[in-house]
Amino acid sequence: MSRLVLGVAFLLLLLAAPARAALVQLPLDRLVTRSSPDGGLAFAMPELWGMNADSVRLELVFQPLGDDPLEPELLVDGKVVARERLSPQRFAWSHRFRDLPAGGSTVRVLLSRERLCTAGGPAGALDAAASRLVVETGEEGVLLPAVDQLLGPFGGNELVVWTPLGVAGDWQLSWAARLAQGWALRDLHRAPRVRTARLPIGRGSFELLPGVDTDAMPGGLNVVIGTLDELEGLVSERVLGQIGAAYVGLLTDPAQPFKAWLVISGRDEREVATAAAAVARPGFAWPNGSAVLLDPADPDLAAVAPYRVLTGPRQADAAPAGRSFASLGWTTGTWRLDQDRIVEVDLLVNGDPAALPGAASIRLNGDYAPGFAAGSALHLRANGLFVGSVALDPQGGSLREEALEVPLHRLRQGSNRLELIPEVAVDPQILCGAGMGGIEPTLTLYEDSSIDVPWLGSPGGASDIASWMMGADLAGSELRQGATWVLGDQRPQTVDAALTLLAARAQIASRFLSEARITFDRGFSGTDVVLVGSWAGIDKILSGRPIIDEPSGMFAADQARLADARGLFKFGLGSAAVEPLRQIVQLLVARNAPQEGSAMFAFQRGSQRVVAVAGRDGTELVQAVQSLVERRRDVMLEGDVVTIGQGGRQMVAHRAIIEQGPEQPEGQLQTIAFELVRMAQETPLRWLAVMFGAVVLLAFLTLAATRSRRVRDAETA
Amino acid sequence: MVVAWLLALGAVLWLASIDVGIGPQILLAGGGVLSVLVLRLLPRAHALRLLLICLALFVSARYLLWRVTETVPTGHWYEAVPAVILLLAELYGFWLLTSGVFMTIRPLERVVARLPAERRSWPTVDILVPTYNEPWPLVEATLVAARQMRWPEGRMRVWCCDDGGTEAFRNHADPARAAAARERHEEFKRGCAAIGVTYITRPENKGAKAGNLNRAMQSCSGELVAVFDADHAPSADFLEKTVGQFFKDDRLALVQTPHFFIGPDPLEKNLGMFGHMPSEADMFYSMTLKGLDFWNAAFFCGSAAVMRRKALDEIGGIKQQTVTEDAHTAMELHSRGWNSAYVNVPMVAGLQPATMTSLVKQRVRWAQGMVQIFLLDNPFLKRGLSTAQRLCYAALSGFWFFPFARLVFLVAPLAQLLFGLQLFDAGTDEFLAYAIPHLAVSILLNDHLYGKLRWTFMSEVYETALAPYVAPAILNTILHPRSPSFAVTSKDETLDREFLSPMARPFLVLAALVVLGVANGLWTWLTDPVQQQTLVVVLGWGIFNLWLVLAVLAAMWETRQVREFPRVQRDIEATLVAADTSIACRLTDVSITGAQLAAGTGAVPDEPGEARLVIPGAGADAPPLDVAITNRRSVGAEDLLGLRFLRTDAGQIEAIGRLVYGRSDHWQAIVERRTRSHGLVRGVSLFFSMAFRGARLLLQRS
Repeated sequence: MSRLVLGVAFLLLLLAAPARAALVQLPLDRLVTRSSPDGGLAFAMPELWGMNADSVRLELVFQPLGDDPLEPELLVDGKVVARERLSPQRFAWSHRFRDLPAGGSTVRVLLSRERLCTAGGPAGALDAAASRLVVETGEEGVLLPAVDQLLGPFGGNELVVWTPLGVAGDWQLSWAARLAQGWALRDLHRAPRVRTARLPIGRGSFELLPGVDTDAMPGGLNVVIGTLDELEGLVSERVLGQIGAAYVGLLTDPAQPFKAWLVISGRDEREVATAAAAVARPGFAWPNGSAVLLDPADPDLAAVAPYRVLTGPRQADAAPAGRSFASLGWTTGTWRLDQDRIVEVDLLVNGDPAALPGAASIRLNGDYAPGFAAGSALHLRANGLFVGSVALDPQGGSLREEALEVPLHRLRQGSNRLELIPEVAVDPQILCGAGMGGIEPTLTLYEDSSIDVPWLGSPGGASDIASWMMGADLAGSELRQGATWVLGDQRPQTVDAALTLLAARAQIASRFLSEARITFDRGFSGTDVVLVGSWAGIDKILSGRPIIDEPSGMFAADQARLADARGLFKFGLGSAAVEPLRQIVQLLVARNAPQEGSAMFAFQRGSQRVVAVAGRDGTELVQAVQSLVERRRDVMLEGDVVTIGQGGRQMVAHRAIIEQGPEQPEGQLQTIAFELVRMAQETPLRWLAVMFGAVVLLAFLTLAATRSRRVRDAETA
Repeated sequence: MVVAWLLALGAVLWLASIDVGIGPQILLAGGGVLSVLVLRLLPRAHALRLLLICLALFVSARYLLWRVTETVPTGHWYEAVPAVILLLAELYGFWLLTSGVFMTIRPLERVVARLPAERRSWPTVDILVPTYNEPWPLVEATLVAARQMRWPEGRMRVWCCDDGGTEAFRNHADPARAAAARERHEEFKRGCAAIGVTYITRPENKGAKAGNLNRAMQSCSGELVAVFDADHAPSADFLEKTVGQFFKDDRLALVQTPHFFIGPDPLEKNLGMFGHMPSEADMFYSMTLKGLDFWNAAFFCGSAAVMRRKALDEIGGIKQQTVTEDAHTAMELHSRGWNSAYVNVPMVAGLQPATMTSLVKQRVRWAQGMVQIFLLDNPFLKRGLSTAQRLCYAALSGFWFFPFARLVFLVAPLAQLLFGLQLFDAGTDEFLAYAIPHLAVSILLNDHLYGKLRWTFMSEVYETALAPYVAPAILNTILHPRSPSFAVTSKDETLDREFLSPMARPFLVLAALVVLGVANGLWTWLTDPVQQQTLVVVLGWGIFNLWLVLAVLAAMWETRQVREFPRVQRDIEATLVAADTSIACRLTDVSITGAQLAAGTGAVPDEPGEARLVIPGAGADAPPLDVAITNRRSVGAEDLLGLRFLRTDAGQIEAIGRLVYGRSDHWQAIVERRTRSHGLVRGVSLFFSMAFRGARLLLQRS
């Protein structure tokens, strides 16, 4: 009997853990709202990736003004979806959305003009602080630190609620959708192991074609590894013709000064492995712009390596002077400022401005009409971060004398994105017809607006990149421009060699590896992932100890072993990468599958910092990677989610509203306990319950099926 | 119901295929293992048993699906090919597990059916005892025991079907063989006449045992036919406890009963485990056949069975197409719509092969025969069988392909330990999440289902010992399905010295390779931290294989067997009459040739000589037995006397037969005694101690 009680108690305990629902509430005053000439208050609805529309509702609280009833209308993308009559005593209205476009929308709350005028404008009619957008995720929370701050005045104008448990969290989805997601999830999960972490491109595919691949590759150092034949399409005949042994070449292209290619090659796999092993050595270095041919029999470069300069002349230093917007590919335009329009300018910056004092100066040349309420402004965002504002005069005016300064640390080497975003309020007088009726709040910005960037020194030449390769990219846990590893060979030996090299760099530097690109095979359904994480964090996930706990000398002691060190990554990196990748994949499946474009995710996981970029195909991935590399380190904060629209142009920063999770403890036992709790919390319990339920059902049916007359006849005398 | 069951099975398999991620998988598999552990603690209800089975198979199915879809390396052919072979071996193992579970999903606890009160309605029975090369004393014991079965006078006839004294042998070209056959013929004829048994032989030996039985059936006309191997002496109640089933079912063609062995098989003998652990046959006769009975697929095992003559006549007698004529005959009967039953009461006492060589020879025949059935009369293609019967016969045939899987499992880790080949592509965490739970539930499931009947890893020991010899025989059968011939297993061998069986040679080589591989793996593990994680799994596997091979070597060390007829333990009051003195004593063991008595110290005169043994419990009409006192030794306060039966007349021979074989409850008690649950830990520790023993023997005697 006691056994029975014990067993039943255990089973009850096993099934007891309930799912924890999450309710995300976003006050509307955290959203950027704009009043519109038609008397409404508009705000951008977040993209609801895979979110059931029923789980989103808007709770509006109006100011109790006068005795007249209030008759607000709710419009989604210009279409009235709800209308309510509120008595003076009832000034709160909760509306649950149905049929919300998944790709985001503009929601407007429309009041009568009279009422708005009485209230002094939309801002006076609606209590934005009390009004909320509520999203019920219906799923367990995520173990990420709370983030209270928004990204400047323009961050958080849209909302994305996300959880690593996307699929399991969407039980409201139709049964068919769940089945489909289940299959998709299974297929996607097949990929995240290093052994299958092969670039889904082969020889002759588009990414390796000259003129395409190099453009598509992100700034910084691109490591290209493969045999001579495999890299034929990537590296010029001029270079390849010189290769007669294991080869390490650092190539630059004057046309693309912010990129470099570390080519690790050879005539066969053995030479490739030798080359990779050589680069991994602690003392390996090479002169500027040089390539190295290695003697397979004695790859000790310090003694025997013949050096040959194979790249072209170093790029001449070029100090960028003041440039007009026209030179940046931008032309004069006029915008209605009450609409969701953003002025964007792409700026290339040579050299690395991050560490320099000073600022770039932007001079705006434009005109705008009257009609803005006081407090309206034009904000400048550089690389996604607010840097300054220009106030707009309600009486209209020009911007010719207005200048904005962008601190250099807001810029960085390579491509930068400048955005001008209006925050406007309509003057109540105009709105209520007191005068100047018909005038629309517009702004015209002329193409002779300009930007001056101080001289930043030499652009990234071979020496810079070489030294950066040796240490700078490993110098800290912060996200910054790092190495992207592009393998021209799908065979595991090449992947292993590349990963060996990567690990060796981290080990040699005894520092964090800040960035690495891990690619996956075709089984990943066209979704590629870049994972950025610290080795320390990955280690912690894996086993609580460093993956490589030998001194760095181990790599020098036996170089041949490096090429064969598949096990390390198979059981080390590969395993470690699985969990965060899985979360990302689940996110993608749950949120992004119906979407266009790609996305970047940044999140904190224990002590590990993870940034991931995902897209549906190679092109999107390249765009996403480019975007990631081009963003400053302080752009991507914990909980930051960036979606990238079609063509990689529409980058919108979202803010994940995240529940507070437990802090990861430091002790080994505590870490294990933490991980167990985390696994339990992240486990799709309902999936497991379904599985166990099905097994119980099968057992029950088997029991029923084995009750036969034959049993009765045989077992009775 | 079947449709619902199939739908549920499909749903479970689909769910098993969904990858939920490593963390959830760990929880899922861990929950499965824990649930199985908890269910083992609960009362052994059929419903809970089924739940345990389903849970365990679900965990294993998840492993297999992961294994198939995720872990096969595709890099180089020299890794991919062995990797696929290893995968196939694992799939085969899973199939064995599931087919075994299917066969034993509902073991039938068939009760003994009563016979009608009117004895004149009891059917006539012909008792057939086929013999080929067994010595007369061995056959005589069986014939005598058969004669003593309780059955109405005139309704039972015992036939000695002698294939060793056929005309062909008596006129053999080799004069020596011909003379021996003639001598045997005369001896058997004379002996049979003395004990009231009909002797029958035939012109030639065509069709081996099946042909022998078919020829005998031409001469007899009973409604039922009971078959006993020459070394399978039945108890007196055999017919009483089996024939009643025929009254319950008009379409019943066969009643099979267990084979109980009073002697050890070579492994039990060499390891000194006989009587202390379940016999190898116990699992088959105490579980598998009961499960097969549920599916109406209990089959003829060659002996200790009663068959309906009418059914046999319908299929043309015992099948001669394969060397396992028994199973083939049963399958033919089932395909004609006849039923079978299994009565799990041990009522025959038989002998097992004494040496590894004989054991291998016996198993090779079984394997060849079952593979022949699969190839020549495939159960899936045979008309008339039910689906369950097809699956059962396919599973029974398929079991005998185990040597290939076993050899793959032995060699596979060496591929990485010695040559650095990677045969599966998985991380340590994945291994922990999928493989460890699978192994755990497999062991737990096997222990739960068969723990009383087969101790942990003992199947592995048996299969490994047989694998190198059965595998080529199966290959040969596949290539030449009609070539295997019936090989009679010797049961009367004796060994006068200890030696390493010649069958151990492959295992010596294998042990050396495994030691080399493990040493190389350990060295790599110590010196190359990079490979440590990779090597953990395969090193563990290699070390397990080393234990396994050492345990097999321990079992291959043949120990002495001085008695041709094993003694059976007894504790019977007896009186020894020697030199006109009656001495009260206890009979402690007995065989058909002798016995041991325990008497008070000095109670029996020192002079050796003849005496008479009176056993009061044997019945009033039981004659005293003439014995010779052959030895004597003192143990504590008792003298132990060795006796040899003088067997001076037929009455004494019958009395000895009754004494040794007469009561089936003796066999039942022994089976119950040795099939107690031993516990997983003790089973594993026994396995390791066997390996230690093997290592020690190798070191001491090499």
